[in-house]
Amino acid sequence: MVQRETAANSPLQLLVAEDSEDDFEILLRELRKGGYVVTAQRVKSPAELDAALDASSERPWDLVISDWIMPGFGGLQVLETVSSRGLDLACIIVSGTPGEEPAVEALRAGALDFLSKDRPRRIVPAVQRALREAADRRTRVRVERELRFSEERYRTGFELAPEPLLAYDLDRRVILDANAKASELFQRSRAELRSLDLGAISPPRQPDGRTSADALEHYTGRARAGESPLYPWIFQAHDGDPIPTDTRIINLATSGRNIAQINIIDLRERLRAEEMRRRSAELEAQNRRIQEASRLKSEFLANMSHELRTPLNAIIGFTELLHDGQVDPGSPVHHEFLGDILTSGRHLLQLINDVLDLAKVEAGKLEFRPEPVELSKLVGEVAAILRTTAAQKQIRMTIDVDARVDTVTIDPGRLKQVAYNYLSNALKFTPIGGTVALRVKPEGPDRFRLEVEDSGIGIRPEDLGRLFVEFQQLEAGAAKRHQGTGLGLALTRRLVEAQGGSVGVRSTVGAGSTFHASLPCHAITIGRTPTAPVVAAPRDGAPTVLVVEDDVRDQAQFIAALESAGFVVELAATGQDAIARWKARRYAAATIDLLLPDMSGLDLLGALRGIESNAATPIIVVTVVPDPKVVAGFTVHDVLPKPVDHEGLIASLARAGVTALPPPLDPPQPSLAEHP
Amino acid sequence: MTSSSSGPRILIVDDNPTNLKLVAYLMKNHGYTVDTALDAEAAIEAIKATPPQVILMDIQLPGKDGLQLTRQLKADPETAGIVVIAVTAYAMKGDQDKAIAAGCDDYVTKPIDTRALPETIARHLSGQGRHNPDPS
Repeated sequence: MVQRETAANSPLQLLVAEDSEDDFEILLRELRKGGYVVTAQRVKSPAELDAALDASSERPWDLVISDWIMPGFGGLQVLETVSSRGLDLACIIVSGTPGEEPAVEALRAGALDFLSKDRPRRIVPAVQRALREAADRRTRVRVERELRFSEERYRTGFELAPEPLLAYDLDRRVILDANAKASELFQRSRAELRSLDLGAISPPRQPDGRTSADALEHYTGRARAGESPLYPWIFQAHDGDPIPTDTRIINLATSGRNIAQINIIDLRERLRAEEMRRRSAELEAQNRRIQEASRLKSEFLANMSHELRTPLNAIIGFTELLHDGQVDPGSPVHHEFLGDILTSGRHLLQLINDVLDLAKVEAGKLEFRPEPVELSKLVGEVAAILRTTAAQKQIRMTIDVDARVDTVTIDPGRLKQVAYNYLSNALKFTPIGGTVALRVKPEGPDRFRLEVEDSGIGIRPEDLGRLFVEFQQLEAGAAKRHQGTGLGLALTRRLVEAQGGSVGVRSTVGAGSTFHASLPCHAITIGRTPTAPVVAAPRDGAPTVLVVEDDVRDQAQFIAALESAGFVVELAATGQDAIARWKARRYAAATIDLLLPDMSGLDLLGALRGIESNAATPIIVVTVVPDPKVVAGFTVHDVLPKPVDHEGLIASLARAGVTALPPPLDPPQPSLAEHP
Repeated sequence: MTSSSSGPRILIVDDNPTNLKLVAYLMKNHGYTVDTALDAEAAIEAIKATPPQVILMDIQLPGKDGLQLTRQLKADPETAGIVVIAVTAYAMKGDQDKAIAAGCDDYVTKPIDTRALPETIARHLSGQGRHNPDPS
């Protein structure tokens, strides 16, 4: 088909094989008429053709037009020469003797067209077509070559990538390909992986609680929208092992299809390394604590020995002098030495009592007998004991008890010990003519605070931490060593803490100190302290419930409810304590108060749920405002209100599948109790 | 505090007044001239005033302790010749070694033996030195 195109002023580099000058001229004339700006070279022999083609690097030919029959030369030879040189050069044959046979022969040999010299006007459309086709072909070849190159490059990159890669069809939801690393990661051959969906290589749920299917829907949707965020994803290897990763789906959107590359960063090594680091840090810390505990123990023993020997030195020494007759029995010195023996003996007794109390309270064996106590009377009695000491040093001692907390329920003997220790300490460190004030006031709705302020020497900030530690008597200056067992404050702290209270001190060097104890107004005898041993031996077969609760009254309620139903109860008053216990053994169940002194209840729940040994242990949250929404996202079997309803608690445990045997008389049936 | 006996001069350093009184009485009864000090500073002053032949040195003292004071005395040629006997309630393993390492000539634990202590001191004064290196 002849196309009426113009080739206005198109340049044309033309190589013409033609023996006839006239025919050559006619050809050029036609082409110029057709609008071409022709630069042509004519060759008449194979040698001239070779020379012209050799020069084509400087002069690239657009087209070859050749006569079919020339003396000693021919169109066929021209076609073969061009083809043998591998040139991408279109050839048009013109012939004075047209016929079907030569035309077929010429086209077979690679000619683009076969024209008759009789019809010179057909030359222009033929040239136009040849040039267009040549241009098209060149473009196609270039594009193909580029495509091939880019695909090879892509394939190599995909295959050799150091991280696992998947090719994924976002529309059909199917893996198209996987590289070697991905195959290794999932423990599946490439053939296996192809045709699987991502859900098939992921666990049913992701750590955020979503199903993998829902989460995939979300991320593939974002990938289709052109977004490719990096997000945490758990895959699953063929053997079922979870593979934590950071994953990114990148939509390549090739030729209208949503084909994505999925980049996977395997986090297991990093997590393992982090876990190792964490564990090693934990061990180190534990080791340090053990070493520190051992050091303190040795120090305690050394101090203990020193403190016991000091009064014994006076007792034995003076007694020997008297016994050996070295002192005249009737002399004032004799009497004085007996007094020294007596004082030293009493000091020794005090020391022994303090040590025994300390040991008892440390072992959780100290018993508290709370009873209604009139605080103004109690502190008055303590002050009376020390009145003489104060008078000797001309210290003004004042007592002030707030009427709102005058009556509390507490062990009076233990509280007297606390008040005595604080007061005698204050008197000891206050110079002659100073002041000491004892105050009792409310602290919140159900606690009271006993504090003793002195105008003494004060304590340096760096020494405050050592105050409540055994035998850590501070250096009181070169002038005078203050007599004391070095146990008073340590014992005070333990007595107060064992009753659910806390101690503290503020001080300014040179201006004085204020020691305080904060205690619940209504202590309840619970027969044990929050510092009980970590692992309590369970009664034969009875299931043990961990009660995480810092309020002693609530603790008592839990113990009453659970023990009467046949459970063994272990108490944890802080989140940290609860975590330590939860790690140390398996429990039948746990109750958790959400308001703890050291950490939030939700943090605690998270921590407990992360501990494998009790992963399936039912947890019941008992809180003042029982709103199940608060604990959404955690595996919690029930949320119960405070105050604790005994029957409700036992029923809730039963619903969670936890029941106990009736305690004493029945023979123990451990298997039944543990797995009801 | 100085007594008016005429025997060898002995300085007793102890921060516990009751124990100081006990040892001072014992030594006076055995004919010594007794000086006492409640801390290292008072001890140094007493030594400067009249150097004793023997010091009974408590180890736990307020401020500079007995071991530090002993090291100081043994490092000074003027006082290095004074016999220093540690008399201490620190009776744990290693405490004796610490005392000897600091330069003490002997080490006696509290409670003291009122019969043995004068003998120990007399032995040192007669130049016989330590007799029982392993007091219990």
